Amino acid sequence: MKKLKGLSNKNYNVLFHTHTVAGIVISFALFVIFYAGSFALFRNEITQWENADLRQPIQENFDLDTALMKIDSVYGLNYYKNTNIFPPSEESPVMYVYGAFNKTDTTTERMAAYISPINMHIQDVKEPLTTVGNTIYFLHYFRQIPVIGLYLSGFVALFFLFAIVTGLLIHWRNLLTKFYAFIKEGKWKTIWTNAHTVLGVIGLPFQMIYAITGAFFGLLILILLPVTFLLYEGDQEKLVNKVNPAAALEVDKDAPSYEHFSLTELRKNINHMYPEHHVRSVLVRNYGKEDALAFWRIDGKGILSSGSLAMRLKDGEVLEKYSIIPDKRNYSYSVIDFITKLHFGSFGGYTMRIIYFILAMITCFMIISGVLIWRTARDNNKYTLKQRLFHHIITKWYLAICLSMFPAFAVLFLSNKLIPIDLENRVDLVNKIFFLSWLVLTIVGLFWNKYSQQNRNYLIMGGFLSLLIPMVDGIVTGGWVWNTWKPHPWVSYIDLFWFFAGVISLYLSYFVLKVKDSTDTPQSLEMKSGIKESVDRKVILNPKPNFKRPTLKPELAITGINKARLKE
Amino acid sequence: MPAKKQYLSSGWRRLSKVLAIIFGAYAATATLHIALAKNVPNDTPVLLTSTYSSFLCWVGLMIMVFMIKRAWVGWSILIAIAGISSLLIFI
Repeated sequence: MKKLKGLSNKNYNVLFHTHTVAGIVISFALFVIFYAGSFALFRNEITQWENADLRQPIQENFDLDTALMKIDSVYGLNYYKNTNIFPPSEESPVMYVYGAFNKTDTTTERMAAYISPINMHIQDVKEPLTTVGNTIYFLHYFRQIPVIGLYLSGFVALFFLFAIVTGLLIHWRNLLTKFYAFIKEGKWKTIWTNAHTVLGVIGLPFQMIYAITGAFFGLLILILLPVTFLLYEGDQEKLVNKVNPAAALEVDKDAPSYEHFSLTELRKNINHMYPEHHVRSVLVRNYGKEDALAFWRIDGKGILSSGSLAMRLKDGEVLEKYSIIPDKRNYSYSVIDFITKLHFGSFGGYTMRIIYFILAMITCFMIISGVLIWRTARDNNKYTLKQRLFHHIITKWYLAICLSMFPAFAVLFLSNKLIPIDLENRVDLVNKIFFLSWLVLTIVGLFWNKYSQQNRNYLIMGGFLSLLIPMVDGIVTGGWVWNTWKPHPWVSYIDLFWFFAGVISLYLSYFVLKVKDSTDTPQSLEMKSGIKESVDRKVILNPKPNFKRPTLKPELAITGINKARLKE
Repeated sequence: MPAKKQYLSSGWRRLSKVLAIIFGAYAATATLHIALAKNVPNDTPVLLTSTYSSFLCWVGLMIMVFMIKRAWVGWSILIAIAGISSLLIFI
């Protein structure tokens, strides 16, 4: 096959080096982001799984106004501020309300609560009882790190984009010839390299999307700060008005009370107007007043089919000037929505999110294989023993941090079920258990000197813990797979996911991953033990080979089969 | 397989390049986009495009800095972009 014209030799080496350095620096952080992010795609479903109170049959008919009044009676909502209501959906079968209430005469505080459409039972979200979905979601942009977490994750995304572009450039000349290089024989370096590049090419569009949209969410402030100061004299509102036409609408603080149309009725009207769409959320201002407004966010099937309808509650009229009509929206109103949907995979239904999940896992594998290339390529006589030990220790740390996430996530899921639901501060406790167990698992992993051993042991631990998850869920909440299958499919899918994850990883670790040859043992380590046995240090550090290795033609050296053929 | 050392820059030149790709390239990217937004009749589409094109532009400039052997040449290109863009913003 024809080779593409690649970079010049100088540029190849320069970019190769920047790719390696950028990749190694961000690798484990990127792994954490992708691994946690892939689970965070199903955050709402996980929340439904973790909180047995949220497991309710999906209601077609629900009363938005009664729910709002009920919330108001508990919190004392300040309707002058924004109040958002999310109707029940397949992802989350209870209604979700967030708004603000008066804390003192001058200050307001935000509130968020779930409210059941069936019995109007309220659960506060700010002090939730359970935390799996949230912990994972926050972890994927490092929110647990105070202040800088989000920006840190943004910079990781930016350098991920850098690594993707430089990776594509250095791989360019082999892009066609190595497209199908799924080779699982030969030297470990070749295996890791082929896996890294082939999966990199296949996953390229997805990874580009993630790098750019991830940088967007993490570093948007860096883009918008100079814009507000240089173009809008520091007036943020002018910028917001450009993106959201509804922001220009104002309501009067002292408007008189008024008996306007009910939200429940108006929602039915919208369903008639847009039968292909569904209401994702409604934002109300001055509810119960004469100039009350509602902004309906509706969404359809395609990636650009969402819209926002501004409506006067007094007469139920849609204010087109302040609305974003679905499928007729212009470019400026589409960009942010488009980026959000691309990032959260919230288009194309569950299929798309499952594809996202798989691609994110492939990216995790790519990150690991990249680290392993880095080490294997440096495990030779060109490097001093000290350097090689350093490479080995770094790799060991990285693998321990990354691979221990599998059992640590299982611990997170388990601890949410095992800690009694009425225990005080249980959310803090669950988070502490999760992060401590991750730390302990990482440290334990540092004692395993072979990478294959690390991989296998984490798989075994994770496998056993995963198998416990559906059982513990069944025992604690009665949510056995066969009970939840019909009424709450996603609860059972999550249990089944863990069941199969456990079975597959145990199968792999006991029947497939029986690495007998020691090709993955770091040579540097063997040498280290060699020194202890008082072998002459100089010989190891400056070996003078007595024989010259036969050099193979590069294209022949790829597979073990060719090697065998040469021997013949 | 690791990159051949003779092509790589070292010491101060390397540090200078790292500073250039973070601060210099960011300044050039931001001013370039704002200058563009300021000099078109409707700035909204440009501003919204900049929320994603900025990152591509930033990364492009990073690669440019690394491909140029001398760090000061890279710096001067970045400063030139930022300077000309600033002129277009403030005039």
